[in-house]
Amino acid sequence: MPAAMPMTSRARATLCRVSLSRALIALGVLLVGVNVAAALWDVRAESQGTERSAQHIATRTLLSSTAMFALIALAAWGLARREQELQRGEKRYRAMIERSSDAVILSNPGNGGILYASPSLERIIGYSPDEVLGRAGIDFVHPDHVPRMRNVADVLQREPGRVATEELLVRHKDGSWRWVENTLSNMLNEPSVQAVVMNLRDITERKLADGERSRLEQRLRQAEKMEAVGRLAGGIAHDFNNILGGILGYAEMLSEQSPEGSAPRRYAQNVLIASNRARSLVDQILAYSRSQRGKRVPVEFGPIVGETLELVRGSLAASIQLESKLPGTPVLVIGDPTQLHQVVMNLCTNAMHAMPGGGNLRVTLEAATVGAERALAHGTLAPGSYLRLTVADNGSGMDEATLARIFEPFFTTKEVGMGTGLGLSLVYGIVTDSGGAIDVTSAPGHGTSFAIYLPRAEAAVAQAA
Amino acid sequence: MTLFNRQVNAGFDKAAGAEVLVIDDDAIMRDLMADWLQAAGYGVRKAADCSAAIAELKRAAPALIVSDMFMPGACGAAAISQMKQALPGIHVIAVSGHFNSGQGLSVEGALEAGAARALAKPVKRAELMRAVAELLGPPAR
Repeated sequence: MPAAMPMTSRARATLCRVSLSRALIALGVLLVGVNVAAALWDVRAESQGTERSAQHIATRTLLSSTAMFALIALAAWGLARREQELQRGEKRYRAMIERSSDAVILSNPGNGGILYASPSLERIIGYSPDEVLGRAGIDFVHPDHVPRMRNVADVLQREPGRVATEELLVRHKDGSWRWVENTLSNMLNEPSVQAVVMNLRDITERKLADGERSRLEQRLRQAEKMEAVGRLAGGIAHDFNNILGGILGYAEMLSEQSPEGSAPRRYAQNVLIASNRARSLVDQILAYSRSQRGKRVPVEFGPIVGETLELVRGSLAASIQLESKLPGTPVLVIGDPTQLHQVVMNLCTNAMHAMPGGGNLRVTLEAATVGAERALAHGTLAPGSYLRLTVADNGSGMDEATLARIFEPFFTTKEVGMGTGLGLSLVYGIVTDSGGAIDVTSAPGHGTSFAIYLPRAEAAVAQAA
Repeated sequence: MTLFNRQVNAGFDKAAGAEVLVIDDDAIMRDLMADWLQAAGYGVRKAADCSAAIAELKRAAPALIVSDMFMPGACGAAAISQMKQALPGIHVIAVSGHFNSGQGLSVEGALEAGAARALAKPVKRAELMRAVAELLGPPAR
């Protein structure tokens, strides 16, 4: 310690007390020592026949009694002080533990479970300390995290003094799950503790914020990627369409001028077929890149869905059941009728393709009111009145990796020539252009459900007014 | 500077029937539109750029101009109103690959400038033929 470091008044007081009690003890010991020496001297003098006066003996007795009394008093004073210090220390530690926002739990997994829990536990998981005494900590852990926590406990218990920190979900009394950071210390071998000491910190807010941030980042990346691809495709598509115009135009003239049934006529016809196919692809790209913006007019969505479902029914495999539920009263959205038709068609076509072995195709159109902003699988849903179109199948479903890419232009899981990879991109473009949002849930082997939210026209009109 | 001076007007006096001038810097599109018109029986002349177009107009004013709106040089939107000013009787069909893109000259803009029709590229044959027939009447032969 540097000599110049100033001493705090508290440290000075402690030092004073220590030296005072030491001085008193030294004085007491000195008095006892002198007394003993005097007594020995007396014994020696007695043996040599020297008589001691009664006054002498009385003086020595008084002296020794005083010394003994002083020592006893000192010992009692010291004990009382020590007791006081201990009590103060315990109060301090108790306050630290009980006033901390973290919860502290002492548990002996092999012998009696939870021995102590600090009051903060109630704030974190809703249970009062009394309610958890005697229970096993693992009872509160989320089933998904139980194996990991058992493993951590095993490793921890094998090594005294070992510390581990784990993030896990625990069950709140109200049935919800809370994220906690649990720091466990093995103090089973410490005679005065004999427990695993756990420090629980509530990190739910942080976890939710982290999750929300990464979802937002992912959505932003996706939107940027789609916009870039869309712009690129749109730029190429324009030129490509003009080139195709030349090919189509001349193939048509060639076909006209070649005699019916001749080889040149057939050649020209095939050029026409191929270029028409190319043109429909380019048209899709153009529609996607939004350079051919759709109309924005109030549209009654129910009849559009109904008409599309009639078409779908016509091409439906016998093994697929179509169930639909449409609203009886007219509901308006703002959009382009042709494009909205395409949205329904594309979603139904995908659902049918996802059920090669048959299944159920369920299409529902209903009103939905959103009270607070909601994050969907793709896009954020602002509060308001919506029409929700749900197209659900119980077909092959998708894994997470596929799900993350379904709206990417040119991403397809279909065989070459079977899909352009533009169907869902188009759905995405049309829905977001119309101020809507898309939610997708899917599980491999269980099917997929698309929910399209389109703002109701009445709401849009009211908002504009 | 105006594109069409008195000399052009002088040329217009010697108008030579239902002739169409096709102006496009894209050779294939220019040929295609000209071939369609020719196959239908219209008289057709072609110009690949502004200066060639002016030369053609000086030589003899056509009854109708089919012109791309996006070409290098002074041709384009501004040219429509100048053509209409210099040759009041002339019909202009504006053609553009950008009519649907939301950038540059819009269909409305072309019509306001004096074009009789505005067709988006790639131009469909039936569309062009209908527009020309409406403006010029059926071809002579």
